[in-house]
Amino acid sequence: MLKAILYKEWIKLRWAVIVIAGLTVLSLAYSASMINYYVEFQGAFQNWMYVIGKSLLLKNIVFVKVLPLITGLVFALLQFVPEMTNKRMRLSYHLPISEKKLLLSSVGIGYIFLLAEIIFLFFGLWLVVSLTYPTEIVSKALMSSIPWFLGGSAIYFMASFIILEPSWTYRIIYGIMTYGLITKFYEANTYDQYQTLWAYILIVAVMPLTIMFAGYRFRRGSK
Amino acid sequence: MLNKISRYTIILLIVVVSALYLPDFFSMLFDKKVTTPRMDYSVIINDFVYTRNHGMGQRDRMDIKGNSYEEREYFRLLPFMYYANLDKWGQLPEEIEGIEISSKIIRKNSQVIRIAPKYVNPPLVPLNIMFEAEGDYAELIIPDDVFRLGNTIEFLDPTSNSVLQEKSKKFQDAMKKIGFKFPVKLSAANQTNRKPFDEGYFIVDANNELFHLKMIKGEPAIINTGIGPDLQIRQIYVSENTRKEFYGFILSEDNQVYLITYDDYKLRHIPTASDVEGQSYVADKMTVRFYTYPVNKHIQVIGDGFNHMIVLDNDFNKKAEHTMEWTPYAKRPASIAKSYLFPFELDTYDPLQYVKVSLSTNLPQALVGIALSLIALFIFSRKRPILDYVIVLFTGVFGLIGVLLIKPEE
Amino acid sequence: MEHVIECRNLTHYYGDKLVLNDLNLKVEKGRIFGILGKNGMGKTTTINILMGFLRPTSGQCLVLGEESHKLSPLTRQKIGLLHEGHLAYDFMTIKQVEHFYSRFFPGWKAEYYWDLMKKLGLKHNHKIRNMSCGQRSQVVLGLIFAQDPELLILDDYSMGLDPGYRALFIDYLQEYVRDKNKTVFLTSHIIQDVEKVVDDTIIMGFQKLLLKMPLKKLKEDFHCFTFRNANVVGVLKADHVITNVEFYNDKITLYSFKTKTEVLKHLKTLGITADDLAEVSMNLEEAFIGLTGKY
Repeated sequence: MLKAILYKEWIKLRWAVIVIAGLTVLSLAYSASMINYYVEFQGAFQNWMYVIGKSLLLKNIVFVKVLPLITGLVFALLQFVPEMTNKRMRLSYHLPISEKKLLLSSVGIGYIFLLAEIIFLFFGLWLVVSLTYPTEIVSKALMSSIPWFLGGSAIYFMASFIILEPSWTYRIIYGIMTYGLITKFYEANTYDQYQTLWAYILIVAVMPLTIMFAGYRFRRGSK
Repeated sequence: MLNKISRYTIILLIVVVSALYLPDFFSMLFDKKVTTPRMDYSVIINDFVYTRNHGMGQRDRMDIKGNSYEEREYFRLLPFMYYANLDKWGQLPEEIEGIEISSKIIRKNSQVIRIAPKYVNPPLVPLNIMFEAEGDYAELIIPDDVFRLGNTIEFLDPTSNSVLQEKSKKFQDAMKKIGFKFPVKLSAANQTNRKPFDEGYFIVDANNELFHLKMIKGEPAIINTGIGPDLQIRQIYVSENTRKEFYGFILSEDNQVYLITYDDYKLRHIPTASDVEGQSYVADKMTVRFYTYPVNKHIQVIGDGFNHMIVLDNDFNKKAEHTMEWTPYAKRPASIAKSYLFPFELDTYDPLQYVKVSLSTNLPQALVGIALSLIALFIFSRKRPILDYVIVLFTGVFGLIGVLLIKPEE
Repeated sequence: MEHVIECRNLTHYYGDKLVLNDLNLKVEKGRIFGILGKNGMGKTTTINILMGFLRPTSGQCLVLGEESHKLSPLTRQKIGLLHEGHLAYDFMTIKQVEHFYSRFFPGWKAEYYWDLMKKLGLKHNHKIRNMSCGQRSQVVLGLIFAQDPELLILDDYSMGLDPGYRALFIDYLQEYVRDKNKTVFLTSHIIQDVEKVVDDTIIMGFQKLLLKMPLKKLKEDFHCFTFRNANVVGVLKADHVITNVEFYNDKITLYSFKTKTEVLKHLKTLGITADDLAEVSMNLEEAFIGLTGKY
């Protein structure tokens, strides 16, 4: 039965997964060429000075920052908007599978695709940065990317949760809450600024639990 | 059951968001700006002076005895600070305390070093540049390689992103020869070419000994300063100055500040302690400023609600001392109100320049807010599961908001 | 006999508005039930509760022995639902949707689905999103048949269907249900269709159940009479004999479960002469209006 859920979610996501994979490759290629351009334009040593002293690399890899956020949002929209229009979610809730399994596996499957993209980005970033820069800079770039990946994960879970919630009042409340939380993942202005990453990881880890309440409210017909 | 856990997860997230934003929002609405005075010491009247801004763009210029001064009068009190203007107005004295004075002399004999929390240990990329310390040119030439200091010293060529083997080996051998023990614990330098000359790097080795490394005519020059293992060095600040009185200074783990003098690297301790509790220098929370002038030295320790200033003569003897105080953050009405209203605050701002989640709380007052929240919960919505009350008990108004917004489904 | 559906003291409020007032209903196995009721009379509410998408304010609604909002997955396997608007996974194709659903039902009878799909004449990779309402209704019906459930709940199956598809639907349903001892619970606004297929009718009135009886009996026992009398306004109203009465100028239309003789007798006790009392035959729609009123 979980395979069937995977089948259903895959049908909804497959084009997006392919497009995002393509965009990921393009972003990495773009980042690589941006880095190259700046090195050529500024001269290698001067470029390293800007990278080290003025966090220039963060500008060059901006797509790594933005892509997980977009992907998370798009996946959530593609998976759950078709399910919620015209109360279509009733179809899924009536399937002979427990609500818990239904919701958690739908979100889990979407997240696996998102996680695959994040891992792809991570290793791609590693490759691209280490072509030009030493390990000190590579490790700073990778550490800087972790909050962004957490942010992308967070928006996937929260957007799914908001879409699955039947009432607009609650959606607005959740929306405000989401905005307040997500911005916290993008506060760095230099490399590797995040300490206490465990707190951020913990918050993201509990987010999937929220969707059960949305499903529960849908089933009860709550407003 | 899972649905209940789900609801409490949502409430938890609301608590987190509220704790992150509401206290700051409250401050933004209700906090009044406190103007802090700028303190100084006048060698002309041998007393402390200060300026303080008033609301309407007005500025008070006073001495601590209560006399007030006009702008130009005030400038005359502080020749070492305002020599450029005074010179232009022809009002710069020709000698002070027996020492000849001119703009040029003042410039040459002044030095400022500042340690603010954000400079104590900020996030940096651990790659450095080594200047040629005795080059042919008047200005310092920016090199075209960088080096790393860790388990060894290695110079890197940015154009090829590879190690410069020869140069690296030269330095590795020199350091090994003098007994430097890798890995490096700490290194510091003044990494700009906008200074009169270069004094290179101060490096703490694995045995906690401090070494001084420079590059002279392309060759490594390294000395063991003798500053030993018993001093727990937290940070070093190098500041080159033609006065050549000190290389820079050391901040120790126990918040003591020492000048590294040119006299065989002898350390000179700078007084930053105060008799008043809470006003002795703590690097994470306070700023220390050290000014050297032709006839004296000023030390200011500035923290939340106070500025403790010590004046030393040129032989480092304490000449004068004064503390100015104003309402510290915690005693401002908005802060006091906050401590009752919010049981804790979550912050991601860190004065040391990191993004870090930190929790601050004022326990006795917080209980008031918690009690009020519990009562409010009871009034607004009588029948609630025990766990809702427990949450409000621990999170006060934040939990109240969460619990009231997200009603239990029954 | 075990009841497939059982509602006990079902009460529901929407905010302050009472929609269902202590509804009691028992549905036997193996028959086709048609639920009729005017909008706002609680029909939708009852269906939503039955389908498990509304938690009643109080009371119980048991479907196959379990509370309808807490049905176990195993029980849900035995219930086929047609949601209002013929809800389906629009993003799937004919082939994909069958492949998906078949994984959930061990007793999946694919031949029922494909029989209907053959009649539909569309390609297997035709997306449901690109179908007309009627075509989609066939897909949904096919899926329900293939699921082979014990109980079918068909909520407003006629919505959006033109007469051709409505007729097809009824035909297929009748064929499918025959000899299989299945219970069907359906609602519709097109009462002529309901008349063709149901065994029993359930009619919802204001906040409660008006009647539940086999269609045949309803047709036999429920009568419509007319007569002319200008002086009865105010005197003649609904009571234990007269279910409903309508006035138009001097023409009076009476509805009753009693026989003509009993009605005449009753009118006489009210002091009303009705020498020209005549019975008018009704179809189900007219009977429904007679029971619930035009407004």
